[in-house]
Amino acid sequence: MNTKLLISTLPLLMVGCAAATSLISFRYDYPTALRKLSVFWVFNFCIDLCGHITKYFGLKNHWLYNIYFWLMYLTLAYLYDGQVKNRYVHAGIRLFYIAFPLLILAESILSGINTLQTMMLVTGSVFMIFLAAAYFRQLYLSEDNEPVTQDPWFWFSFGFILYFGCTVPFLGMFNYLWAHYKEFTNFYYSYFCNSFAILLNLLIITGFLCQRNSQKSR
Amino acid sequence: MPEKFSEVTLILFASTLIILLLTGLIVVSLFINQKRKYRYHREKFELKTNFEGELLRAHLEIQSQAFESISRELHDNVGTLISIAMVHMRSLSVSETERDKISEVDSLLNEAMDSLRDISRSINPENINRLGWQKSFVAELDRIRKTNLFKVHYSEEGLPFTIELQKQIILFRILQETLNNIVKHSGGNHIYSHIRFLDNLVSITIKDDGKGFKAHSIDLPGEGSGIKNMRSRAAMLPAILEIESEVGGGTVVRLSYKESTVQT
Repeated sequence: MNTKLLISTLPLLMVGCAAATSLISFRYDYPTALRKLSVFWVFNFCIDLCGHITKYFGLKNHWLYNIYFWLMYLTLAYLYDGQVKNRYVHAGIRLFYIAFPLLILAESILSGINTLQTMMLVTGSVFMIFLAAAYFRQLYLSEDNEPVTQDPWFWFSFGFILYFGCTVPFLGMFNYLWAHYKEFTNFYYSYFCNSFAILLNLLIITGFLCQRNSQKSR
Repeated sequence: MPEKFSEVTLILFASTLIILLLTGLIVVSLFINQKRKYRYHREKFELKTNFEGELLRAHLEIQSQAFESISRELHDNVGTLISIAMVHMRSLSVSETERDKISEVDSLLNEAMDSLRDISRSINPENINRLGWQKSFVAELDRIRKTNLFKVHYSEEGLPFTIELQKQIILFRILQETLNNIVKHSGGNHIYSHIRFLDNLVSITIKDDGKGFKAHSIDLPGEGSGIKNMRSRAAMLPAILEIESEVGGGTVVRLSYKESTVQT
């Protein structure tokens, strides 16, 4: 196995580990939102696996990642709707549910489904950063005395801010970079985007495990 | 990376770095805030505990003064009136047939006078100070024994040590409340009490063979305020108060207090 393949496979392994770890939410008495996230992460792993297989066979898989990101943004928005207790955020999520599918539709018509939909990626990522920041604000203002490190959604939000924040400038310019600086795009994607994906999955694992630890300490 | 370093790559790296720094800043500020919040809650809790302690202390002081005043009134006023009544009665010249009745009234008044003295002594905090909590407790047991409602068993072991006066009153009031509860509610025939001194620890066990109660019934609102007071007083010492009871199986009250400065 060459280095390049190993580097590109590492994030997939991490997603797999995160999906496997998240399954403990069904073994123990975890909140429903965490179980839903667990199901989504398993699905996430399946799509990523399909992505890697298609890439291995030299097939263009941008359509698959388009679907992957559509579902990811919509699912995370739905899950954050239950976590953030703020009516403006709830209104924002409702607005997102109307505007985002319209954006997907418009971009699918304008640039097709086989090209990575960067407008959708930027909008979705920015909205995810907004939701994670709203959750951090909620934690900041909360009167609750529980340590934030025992809150799984703190770890998830931390991961989402890092991942979406650090990949959105790249993903936003992806098509342009791919057309003009193909090698650099490959390099950046392999080393940077994959590192952030690994980091995100590590934080997802931490979130699921911290919930178990806090249950044990009670 | 064969392409030359361009503005695009600069923007990409710079924006990633800025976002990383911002995320770090947010998380660090969240941790700092969490620490501050924790400190604030701890201070609030300490203030609340201190306030409750002060409130209880003030409550006990008022109660102590009230007891002292009632005790003085009983002794000086009611006691004197009964004594005068007895003197007057004894000075009456009565016929032989009424002499028996007078003698019976005299013994009843004597009994009332004794009870009055006992109650007066029992509630007067000065008496507890003078006799000490242990002798006051034994006197309280004697008072119950005299009623013939209960058979009282008392035992002790170990070497007694001196407890701070204010704490002796609190300790005695807990024991007094326990005995009052037994007399009022237990419906039993025996009271077993045992005091054990070990180094600077005293453990008092009071047991009855009464009807007992469901353990959770004292937690209901409006129920068992006497027991709640006992618990508050125990917390003030601080002492460990354990109450074990089951319906039909009597009740056991255990009080353990550790004196920090022991003088034997």
